[in-house]
Amino acid sequence: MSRVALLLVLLLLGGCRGEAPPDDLPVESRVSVAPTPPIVGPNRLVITLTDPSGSPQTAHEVRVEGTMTHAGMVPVHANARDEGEGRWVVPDFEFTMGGDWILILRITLPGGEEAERRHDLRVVSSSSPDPGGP
Amino acid sequence: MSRIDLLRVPLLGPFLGWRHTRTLLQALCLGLAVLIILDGLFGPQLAPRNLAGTLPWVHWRGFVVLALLIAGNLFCMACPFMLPRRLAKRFGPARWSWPAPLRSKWVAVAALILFFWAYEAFALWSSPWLTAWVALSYFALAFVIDGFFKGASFCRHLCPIGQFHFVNSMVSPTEVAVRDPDVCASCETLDCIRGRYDPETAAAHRSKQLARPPDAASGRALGLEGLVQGGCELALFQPRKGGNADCTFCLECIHACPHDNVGIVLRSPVQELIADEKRSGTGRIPRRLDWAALILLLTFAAWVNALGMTEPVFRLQAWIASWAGTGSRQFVLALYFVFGLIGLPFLVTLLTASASRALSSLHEPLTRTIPAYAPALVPVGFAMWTAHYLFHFLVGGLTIVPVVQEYLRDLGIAATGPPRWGAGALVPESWLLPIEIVILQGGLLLTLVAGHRIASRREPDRRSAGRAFLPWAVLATLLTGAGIWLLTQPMEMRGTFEAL
Repeated sequence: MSRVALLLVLLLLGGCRGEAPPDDLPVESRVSVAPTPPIVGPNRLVITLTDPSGSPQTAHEVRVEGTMTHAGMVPVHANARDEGEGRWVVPDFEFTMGGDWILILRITLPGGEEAERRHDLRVVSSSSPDPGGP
Repeated sequence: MSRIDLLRVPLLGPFLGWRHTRTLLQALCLGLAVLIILDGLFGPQLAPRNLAGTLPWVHWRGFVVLALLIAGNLFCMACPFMLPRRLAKRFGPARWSWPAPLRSKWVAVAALILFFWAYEAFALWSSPWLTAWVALSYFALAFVIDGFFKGASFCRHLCPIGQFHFVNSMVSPTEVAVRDPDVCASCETLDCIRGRYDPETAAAHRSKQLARPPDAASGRALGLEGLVQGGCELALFQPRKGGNADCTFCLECIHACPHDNVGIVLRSPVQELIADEKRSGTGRIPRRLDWAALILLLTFAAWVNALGMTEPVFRLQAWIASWAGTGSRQFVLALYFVFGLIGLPFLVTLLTASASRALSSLHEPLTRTIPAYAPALVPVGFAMWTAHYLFHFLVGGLTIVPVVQEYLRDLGIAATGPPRWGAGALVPESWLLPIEIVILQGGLLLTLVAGHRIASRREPDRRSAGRAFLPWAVLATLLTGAGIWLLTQPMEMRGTFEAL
């Protein structure tokens, strides 16, 4: 009986933790990286924020987290610099390994709400050309 | 000279000899498995943020190779899949014998190839959800198979993880072994394999004149309740066991032996590789093609698996896709693995064995030459696995800290503070390559020693032994050189986005 109770508790606890539901805040993001394709080492990220109509979206803060799609690598964090007109820049975002990365943008809007947007990108070793793919 | 017996080491010995040690370790691993499954199914689906993305693919694999390297097959000993199996044995029929045509390693070889392909084709490392389902499937398979079949059929004939442990523990520095063979010679009860029954049941055995002692399930079917202590779950008879092959370190033999004559002894890492005697359970491994196939598969898979992290392999896969005219990642990887895990090992081994036979004074079919030398390749393959898995473990060992912190925070337990996402490496990055190269060279050295000893055992004189050994030495050296080249490549981890 106690084992069943323990199992139920664990199931309940496990169920408490989940993927955050997508927000419906009116902000869209686009990321461009230089060089293209992105390489292992420092890269320049340019983040463009717009509202659904395509007009520049102002924000209070944009934080960037880069994480690989597999575990075991330390994520990379940076704060983007506001250059106005919805344009935010990270001048030297350091990708630490080649492969598939996910950029997570945490955008604090002027009202304090936080939007999260994700972008996939493939980083290549600086010595090798990209054989293709996203 | 008496061998060092870990059961006689203070603190460690009593712990290992305690009857409930295995259950305790299994319960701990079962708890972790439950957490992995729950977080994999319900937690965030970003692998680096999930226990199912982190624990199995970074930590468990690292601990497995470390345990095999410095101790033995501890992870079969602590296998959580075997706890539910006990329930299956208690409530299921478990009366059937494993089908005779399948009593070999061929099914396990196929299962391993399937697992290696699925790992890449579905990028299991990046999907907590799939990882959780792999674990659940494992529990279900072990439960069902061992619920119907006698003994540890799942472990011996099917479990891909178990085969990895069995083969690589052949170079581990410890084994479960008889302390004094003379004691076994005079033993009449053979409890290490039969298990120990209470005196009344033991008398019933004698009265029914059973040709073979029943295991627990068969005993129940015969109305012979009263098993006090089980014997070896893989039916390895201790006096003729001789090594770690197929030994799950369940330690039942240690508990069952009424003469306290089974220990966990230190040994030379090449001892098992060069042995040629007939062993209980496995027979003569150097004469078995299925064992040779298993060893060669695991040896070459070490390279194929690690190569999957380098840039050249993506070019190769793109070329295969173009050649085959397909965009299906699963299909391209199937071709890649058929070549890397079947075609390439077959061709390379055939060439090496042919050269060895041509230089040898023996006139024998290659089906004798290949199994004879295959065990010598275990160290070089294990070294590559170790270098690869330790790379991940040493680079990301501390990443579990923020994952656990976030897990607890999500459950409302904030005592551990905000997640420390900067935690990662266990050693400075500059140490990684030297550590990996030392491991590879250590593996090469052991392979050369074992290969030469095997040749010396088989050939009539030293010159002939040296010639027969030469092609295998060249193969091992080439593999090691390829491993060093591979480890110096920029590491990449792709395959999670759709395009090739």
